[in-house]
Amino acid sequence: MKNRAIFNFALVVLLILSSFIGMPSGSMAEGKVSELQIAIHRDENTLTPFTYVTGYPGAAVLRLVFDSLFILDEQNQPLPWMVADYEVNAAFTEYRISLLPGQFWHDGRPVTADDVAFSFSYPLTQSQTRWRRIAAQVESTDVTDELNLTIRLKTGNPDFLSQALTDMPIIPKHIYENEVDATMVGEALGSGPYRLVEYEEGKHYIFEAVPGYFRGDALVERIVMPIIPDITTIFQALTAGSIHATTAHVAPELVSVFAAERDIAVMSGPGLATTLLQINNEVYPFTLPEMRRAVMLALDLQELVDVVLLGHGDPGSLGFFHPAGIFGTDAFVPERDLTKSNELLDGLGFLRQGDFRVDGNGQPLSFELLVAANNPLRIRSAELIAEQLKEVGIDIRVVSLEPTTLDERVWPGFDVSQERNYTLSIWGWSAPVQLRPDALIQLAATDHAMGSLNLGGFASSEFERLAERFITEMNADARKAIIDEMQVLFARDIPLIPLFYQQVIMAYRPAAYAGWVLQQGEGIINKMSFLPGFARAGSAQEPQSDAAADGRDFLFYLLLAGVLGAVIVVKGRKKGHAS
Amino acid sequence: MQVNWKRRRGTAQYLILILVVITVNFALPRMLPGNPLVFLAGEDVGLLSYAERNELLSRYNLDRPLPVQYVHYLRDLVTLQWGDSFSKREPIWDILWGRVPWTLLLALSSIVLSSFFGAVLGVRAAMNRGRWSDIRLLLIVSFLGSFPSFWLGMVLIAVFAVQLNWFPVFGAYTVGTGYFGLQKLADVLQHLTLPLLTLTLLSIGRYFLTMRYSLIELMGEDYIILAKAKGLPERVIKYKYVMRNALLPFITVLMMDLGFVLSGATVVETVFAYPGLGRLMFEAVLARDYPLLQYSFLVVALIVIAFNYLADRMYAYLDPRVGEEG
Repeated sequence: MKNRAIFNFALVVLLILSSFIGMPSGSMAEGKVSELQIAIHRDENTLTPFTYVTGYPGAAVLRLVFDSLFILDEQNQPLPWMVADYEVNAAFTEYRISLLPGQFWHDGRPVTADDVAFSFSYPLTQSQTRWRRIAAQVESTDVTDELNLTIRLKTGNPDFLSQALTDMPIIPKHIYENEVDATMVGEALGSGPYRLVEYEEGKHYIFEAVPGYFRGDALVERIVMPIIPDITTIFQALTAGSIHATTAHVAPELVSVFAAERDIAVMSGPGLATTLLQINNEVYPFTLPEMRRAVMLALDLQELVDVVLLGHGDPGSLGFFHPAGIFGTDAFVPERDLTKSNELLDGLGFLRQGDFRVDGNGQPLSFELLVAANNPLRIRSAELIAEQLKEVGIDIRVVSLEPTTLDERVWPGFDVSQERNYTLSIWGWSAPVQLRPDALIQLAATDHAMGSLNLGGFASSEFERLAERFITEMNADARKAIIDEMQVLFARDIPLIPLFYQQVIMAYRPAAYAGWVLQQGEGIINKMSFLPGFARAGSAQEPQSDAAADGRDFLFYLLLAGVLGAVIVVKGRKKGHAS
Repeated sequence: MQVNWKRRRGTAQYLILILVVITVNFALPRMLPGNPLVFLAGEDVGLLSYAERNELLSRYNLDRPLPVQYVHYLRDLVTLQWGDSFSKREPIWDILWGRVPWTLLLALSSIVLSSFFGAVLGVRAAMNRGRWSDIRLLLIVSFLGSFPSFWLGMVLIAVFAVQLNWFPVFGAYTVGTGYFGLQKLADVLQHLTLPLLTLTLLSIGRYFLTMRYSLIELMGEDYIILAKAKGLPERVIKYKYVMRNALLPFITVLMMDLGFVLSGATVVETVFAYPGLGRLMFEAVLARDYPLLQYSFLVVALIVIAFNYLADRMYAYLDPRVGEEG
């Protein structure tokens, strides 16, 4: 009986150890990296232009699969991509485009001007607002031949190239033309440098480089993207070497940790995502510009940057635009002035009674500050703001809410015409808003269609006049001058208070791949990071073998064999005793 | 005859419970503030015009009065036409089918392990009541149970995955390896270990305490003293007289725990990026994905109800008096 138990044990050990034989291993073409593991921090569905969820990381990863006519370079300047040549008329109503030859869909069919024309009309039939907004500007498209077309706009738009042609993904007409509901197309078939070969809901994506891509073969042959929703887990995995990079931005407190890690490199650049104090301009006393100014003067934005972001960011500009961005200037970065703030509050008749002030009716100057419960940086910011405003006698109660509930309070139904239910909130706009020349109009125009992001109900006839001038002005310099005027007005009337712009900080394992290109405000997951001519020099390195992981496998198999063997031996002994 | 009537009454109670669950599943998501528009219209949802917004809501029947939506929901439920998720843009059946097996694997393994070790340690502690070994166990188990799940998960990752590199940090399996057979099994078990350990360590206390206190209470019962006085062997008293009766509250805790583990493992699933139902439901709540919320909650509720039904049957088997009571 004992011999039989030992035999069983040996058999199990052999079986398990034999499973090592024939384990797949990555192969690498010369000068290329065979595989990278890049964690993505959200599930972006089937990753088609009509099913992806977020601007980042969704749209960023989408662009590995789908091309657009132009792309944004490292500094967010438009760069012709699918385009060999283009011409724009003086009224900015006609965009004549010649496509580069040799572009193919991932099913092998050629990309034609027909596909491009289709891409600018089909979204009008769909609910995806980002593409629909672009398609709505198009009057008609005129396809001359396989590679040439003209896009005619309803009204002249000098920003159509930088805003729309860099954004609109070109989709295959033969896949979508008979689909009433584009979300039903589950296959992400594009013409970009990567083909999505596998998607498992909630688990992972696998991309493979498209051979013969017209801008050169991608430097990484296969990208595996496990979906890891928890940011802490992502950075644990990066430290452990289980992943080589991630779409997630590094939290400020981790920067020094990673800087000390020999195997991990950190890249950073100015962030364009704006964190702001959103003010409901329709609620007294914030209906008064002096009150909003008093709050602004009581805030120490540099302290927020130093304490909350540990210095990895820039204080907000009252003109909304990042001073280092395309439209920004550092002239509107405010300085704290408690004396002036107190004077303004005194002037409004809000007098101190003990620690806090009261208004003319004896009501304490006390307000709720809403903040998303899932964002620790914003919660900390809210706490600091409460402390800072206490110094001028304003009582702030920080209320953290589940994110969707917060949205509903501040932006009910995502419709600015609906009644808001808040006074103050820590809010944020993603990086693309900073790149829009008409961002200030969206943030402050009273017309609900134009001011679709006017969450504070700001109203100013002076601003409306500037907005009207901007829309009809076609000259680039004159438009920039109007944007500057709008920023002056923003700094004067304070419809909202930009608090800070958090730096974009990315971490990766350089031994696995070092060709990353940091796109300002966005990150390192972009086409440029993977294509020759854009990727940083010396990027093509084979990932170091994960010896630790091999050791882990061996230990695990040994452990498994031990447990199974022990069970068999114990069972054999018991049987032996029984017999 | 009376037994049949009781069974029928029991079955009717379960049917009523299921109907209540179905209705609550419909009502609860709609009582939450917010709506799923951002997932239906995409990130630039604010650019929708009034007409476009209404057209979109109408397309998904979200503009209809609630009773009409409820009727549609019942119809879809009965015909098994559960439709697509608002946020994930995939058939709900496919999504649930991809998640339920992982949740069951994690939840059932955790329940088996925690109940087994909880019971064994509980018996040991009760038999040594008041001694150092009892106090030591009580302290250790209470200490482990007091950790927040995300913290314990993170500590286990930091130690066993990052420092020692014994186990993977995330996921249910290694992506894109082409493993099959024993390799696949070993890979899945390897990934299961840390989330399972987290859940087990957190749950073990409930079983331990239940078993310990039940045993301590039963040991002082008259019939046990009588059995001892009759000179029955310790083994017989321990297993036949004490353990069997102590199983009743233990099974109650076990069945209640199932509901918690199926839906409440959200944090553990998130920390380990384990693709289970808990995480799915959490994401569905954030997205106000009504259909996905309704049906995922329903699946969990039905599983819990099924196990409760099973527990009822087991009570009758373990304690015949349960079946006799009116």
